[in-house]
Amino acid sequence: MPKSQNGQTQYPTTLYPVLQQDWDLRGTGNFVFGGTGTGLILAITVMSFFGVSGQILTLLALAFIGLGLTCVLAKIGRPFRAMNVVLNPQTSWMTREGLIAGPLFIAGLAAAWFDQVFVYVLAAFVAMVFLYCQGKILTEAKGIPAWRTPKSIPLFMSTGIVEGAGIFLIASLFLNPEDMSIVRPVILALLLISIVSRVFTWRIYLRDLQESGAPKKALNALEKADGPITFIGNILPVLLLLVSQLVPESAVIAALVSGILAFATGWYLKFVIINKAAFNQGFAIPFSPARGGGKPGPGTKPGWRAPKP
Amino acid sequence: MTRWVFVADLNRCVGCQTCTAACKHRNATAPGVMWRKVLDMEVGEFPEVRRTFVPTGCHHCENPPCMHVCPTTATKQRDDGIITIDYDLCIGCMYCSVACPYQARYKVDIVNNAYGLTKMANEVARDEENLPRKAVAQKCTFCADRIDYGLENGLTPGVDPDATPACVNSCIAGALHMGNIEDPKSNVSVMVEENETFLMHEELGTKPGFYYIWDRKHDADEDTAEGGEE
Repeated sequence: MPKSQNGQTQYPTTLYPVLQQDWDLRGTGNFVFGGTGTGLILAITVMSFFGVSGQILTLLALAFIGLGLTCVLAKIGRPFRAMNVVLNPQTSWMTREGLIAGPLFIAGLAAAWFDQVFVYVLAAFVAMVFLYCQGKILTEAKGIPAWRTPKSIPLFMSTGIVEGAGIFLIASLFLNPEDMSIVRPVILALLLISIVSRVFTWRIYLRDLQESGAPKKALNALEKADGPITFIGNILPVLLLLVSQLVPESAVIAALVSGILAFATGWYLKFVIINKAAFNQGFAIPFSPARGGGKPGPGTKPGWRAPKP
Repeated sequence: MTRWVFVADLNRCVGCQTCTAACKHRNATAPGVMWRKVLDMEVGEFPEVRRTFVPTGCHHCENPPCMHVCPTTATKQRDDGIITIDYDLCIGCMYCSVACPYQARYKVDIVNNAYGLTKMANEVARDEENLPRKAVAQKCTFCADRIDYGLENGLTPGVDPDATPACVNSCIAGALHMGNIEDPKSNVSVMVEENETFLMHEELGTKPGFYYIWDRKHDADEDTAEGGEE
């Protein structure tokens, strides 16, 4: 974020879409850690059906979500008024996210305490509502074309689930590895399915922006990240998952790297969308005026890439 | 019913930024903050180049995304359409800022004066208003206090200077106007009726309250005559 010498935010005056300066890495932290935490709760719930105990990991998931909410607290201008965030449940998805955080922590702690499948299911349901709220927060930001597309919701939900599954896979290698080895195919299947859904939602999200038109710089940032996200972040972890099944000697290291790539790519994806591609609407006029006795002329929309025909 | 709107005649605006300066003087906003600003837009390539000056700021939308997303209800819409911010409720999350397609919102973490430690007379006069604005969202108020004062004293906003926003009062070219668009006889209604207008980013569904005049309306006979001459 550009700052002057005295730390004051500088607001550039230009016709072109400019990168939003209001939500920096602290803002991204809410989406990164909140997504990973809620995805992890879902992964734990799936594994609970196979008799796996997820007590410690549930606490880890809640710690992730708490860290994300702390990032929000660190970002706002008046942190001592933070509780005002709950005042607009009628229309604000930020309020709804804040309100659902309470039940999420209660359900999560209950799941960690009782270690019962139905409590995990309850916690996972609330976690998915929380994750949905995060997607809606982005789509309601009408000033940022790369956020406001409805395709942001499935993308952020799918990547959250991948991140959680990735963290679960890594944890399974270290927490009771012998017990976990019995259910590892289930973990791998969950990760595989979620990665495939993420790569699809990413492609659909990107194509939607290209086809509907968006700020040039936003599309440039997203297209620059497309290669790493698709190949290193999605295809490579899938290949590594296959290696971990086919080559027993390298199973652990392949699964470990796959898990790391799975969640790290999600974090990178969110960083790109929230901090690199978040160019605002810019300014536009559909006509230029008639001067004196002259005739009006065409308008302009500087800095935009036209929609694909 | 009343809905206050701005109308900018793009044929008349000369880009002098007097409205920007008047707004800054009236509201004593911090350096870098411009609730009212005039964009300098160039269209086309040499030799067919046009230059247009476009005043902008908060468009006081009928369907304001900033208000819908605000988690604290600090951003509100008055019955007369003016979008306001309650500085005492706002937490400075700036969700409203990323929701606004008009780049109308600002946040000032460190309250600065135009000339450092020395406050100008207008900054001293606005001290009480400025301090609560620290670290929260701020934007054009439509000079709502002037409008309210005018209405209480039988004046007509948009016509009587004492009831009219500073930017409109200061316009040297008669390009910037305000008035009640719900009154068919008001100054702005007549202008919108007699001229071709557009709303910026209308496709986003915000229903902005800032009309831009880009041509006068031509009747069918006039168009035929012009065509015949050509």
